[in-house]
Amino acid sequence: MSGIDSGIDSDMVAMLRTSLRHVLTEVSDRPLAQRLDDLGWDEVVTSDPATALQTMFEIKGETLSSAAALGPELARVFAVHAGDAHASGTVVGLASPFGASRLDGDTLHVEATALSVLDGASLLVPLDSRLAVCPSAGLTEAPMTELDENFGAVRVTGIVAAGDVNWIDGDVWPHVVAHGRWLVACELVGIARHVIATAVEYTGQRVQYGKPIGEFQALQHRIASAHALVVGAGHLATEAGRDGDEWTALVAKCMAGSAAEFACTQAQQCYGAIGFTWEHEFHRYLRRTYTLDRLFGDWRSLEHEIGNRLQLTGVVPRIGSL
Amino acid sequence: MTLQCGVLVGHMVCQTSRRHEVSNPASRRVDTAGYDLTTLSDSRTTLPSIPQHHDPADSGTGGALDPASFASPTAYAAVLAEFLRTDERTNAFIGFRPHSLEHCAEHLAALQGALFDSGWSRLGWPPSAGGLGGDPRFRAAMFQTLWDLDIQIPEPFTTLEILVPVLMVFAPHLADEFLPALLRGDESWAQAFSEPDAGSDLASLRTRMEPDGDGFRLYGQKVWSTFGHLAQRSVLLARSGGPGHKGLTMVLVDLDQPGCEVRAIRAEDGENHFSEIFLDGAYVPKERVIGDLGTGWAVAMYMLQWERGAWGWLQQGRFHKRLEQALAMAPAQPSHSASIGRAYALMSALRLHTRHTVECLAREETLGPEVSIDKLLLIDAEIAAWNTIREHVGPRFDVDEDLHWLRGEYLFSRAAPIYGGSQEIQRTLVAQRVLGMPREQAGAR
Repeated sequence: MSGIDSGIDSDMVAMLRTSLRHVLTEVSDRPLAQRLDDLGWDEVVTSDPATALQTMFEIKGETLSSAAALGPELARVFAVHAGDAHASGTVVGLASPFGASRLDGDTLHVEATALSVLDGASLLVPLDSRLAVCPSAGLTEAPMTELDENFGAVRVTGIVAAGDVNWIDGDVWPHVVAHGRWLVACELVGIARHVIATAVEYTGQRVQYGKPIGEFQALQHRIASAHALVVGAGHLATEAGRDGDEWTALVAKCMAGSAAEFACTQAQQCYGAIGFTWEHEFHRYLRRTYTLDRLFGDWRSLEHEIGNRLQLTGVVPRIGSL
Repeated sequence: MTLQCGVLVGHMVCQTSRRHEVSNPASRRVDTAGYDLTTLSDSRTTLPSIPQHHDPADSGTGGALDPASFASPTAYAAVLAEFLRTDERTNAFIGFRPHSLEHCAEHLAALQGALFDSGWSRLGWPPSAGGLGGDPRFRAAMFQTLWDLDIQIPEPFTTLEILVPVLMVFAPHLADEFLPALLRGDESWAQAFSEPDAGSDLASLRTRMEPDGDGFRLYGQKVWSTFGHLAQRSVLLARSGGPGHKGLTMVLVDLDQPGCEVRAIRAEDGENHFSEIFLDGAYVPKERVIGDLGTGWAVAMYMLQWERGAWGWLQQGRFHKRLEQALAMAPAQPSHSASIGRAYALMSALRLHTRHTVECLAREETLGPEVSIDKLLLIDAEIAAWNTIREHVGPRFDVDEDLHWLRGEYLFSRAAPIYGGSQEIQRTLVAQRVLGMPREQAGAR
């Protein structure tokens, strides 16, 4: 019923989680791709890509890993749909908080968020119904560390002559967005689970009025209500990986963003004052939640987009079948 | 620590809006205003013709349905949908808007008969109990198909979805004896757990069960028994021994007997959804004990996975259909988009989570306290869905006579955080039993 063409059973997922936890948190000079190779990652992905990637991004969220996994995945999906010529050397540029890229006569004004430094690679920017692959020469990069200093996002700006741009037509970008939404949803679910588990642990230890504060229903209810939403978000993320559908990914990202923010809000109240300081790890999870939620549309704008599309089509899709 | 189990109210599906009543104070089953509830009719409403008894050989499917012949429950649903659309015994129920619960029950029994005779409603139930085999996902697929076609699900289906799986485990002889009559719509049952002084704290219930010859006699009072006034029998939790959880026993009791009075209670939507049952020596033969004496609590806990999980799946099908219908009632309005999107995301989460529950039940995995998550997601989805439906349709939602059915469902949706274990009970269960947060220490207060 579940795990269609699944080459990975639940025992293997548990082992995979342990291995990924290690790989994603170890301090190493070697690139992530090499360390994943040691793990036999390619085989795992080949046998069951949906489970493998979902597990990796959930662990990434749980461990707050800054490993550069999303960028390469977006570039890979781009190449799958745009052709082998783009198999390497492209960084996907996402919407920038500072404005949009625009074409002005023969000049392309680039304004994008990249998930890593370009390091000589070209930058992919969506522009209207086309995609522009821009050479890195002439582009300026500035790390975006204001909210989440370890996330690794980079603001890319600059001017490129339209003639130097490799233009790509066709239905490529929605695939990149759907893939990204799915993976970010998985990562947000991982964060939310970690934050809830940590709040359960903390409230079981913190004593006031002579008993653990976790005995108070006021706190129990905050955490339980968040847990239910996170479980629901997890199902949506799983389904998005299975059906590969653009609509499911949209709804999964929306639900994961709102559930993760809700979980953070509830957990922060459980931590009390310590959770408001840099003495506690929580603030880093909150920052990462906000950062991830902004990618591919934050949950409020996605709710709006879902509602718009339901109203325009008049059809209410049933996600998932028996 | 007292809040351990929920108010097991039982359920409602056949939401309607009351329009017409006939006085008959002599009736045994009367509502709060003294109106007869069993002989209602309303000439203003077009009634589907009630089919006469149908020979299965004529149906085209003729009881020969084989669950193994369908690639999946979804494939079964597609064939079922075609049958429902084309068969004259069933297509009259598409868009059927009953004007009262009693009207609904009276006419939907005919739909049940057609589904039973043609074999469709017998998939997902074991042959020993009159079924045609296959796992419970077939039942879940049937409910989805009925909602998708805008066909009201007959209330007995929802009751038996909760009660019969329990019988199959704890009293298989009763499942074999009664399931066909329940599926056919020949009779309906009601759940009777709560009492005036035992709601959330169910284990404190006081209805007594005293030995008498080869059986037992019941003394006490039950309340919030869904559709008790329309039911022939009740699955009832009573105290056969000492205090607390260990002194409870589950029984099947005939409601139509001396020593048993049923009084309907009108709910917020104006309909007689629940009833009180007064027991003064009603008799229960020992064969009607479900499980063993003193195991009633365990039986009730087993029931919860169906009451919270399978129920949630059934409800999400209704919410999806109703949202779709509401969208067609008013032009697109950008200011409504966010709340529509929010409701849809929650409905999708409910759908996928309860599908997971149904799949676990189909594999005969017993679920524990995690089914409270199903109920919490149901509450969030149901409240959000109905709030956005009412907002989108606008002021006429409240006053348009043609929308009585939608309004009735809206009003009843306010019960979601209360029935079947309140939202607070479910949150406490999830916190303590699923997440392992500490329980209040004994003697701490």
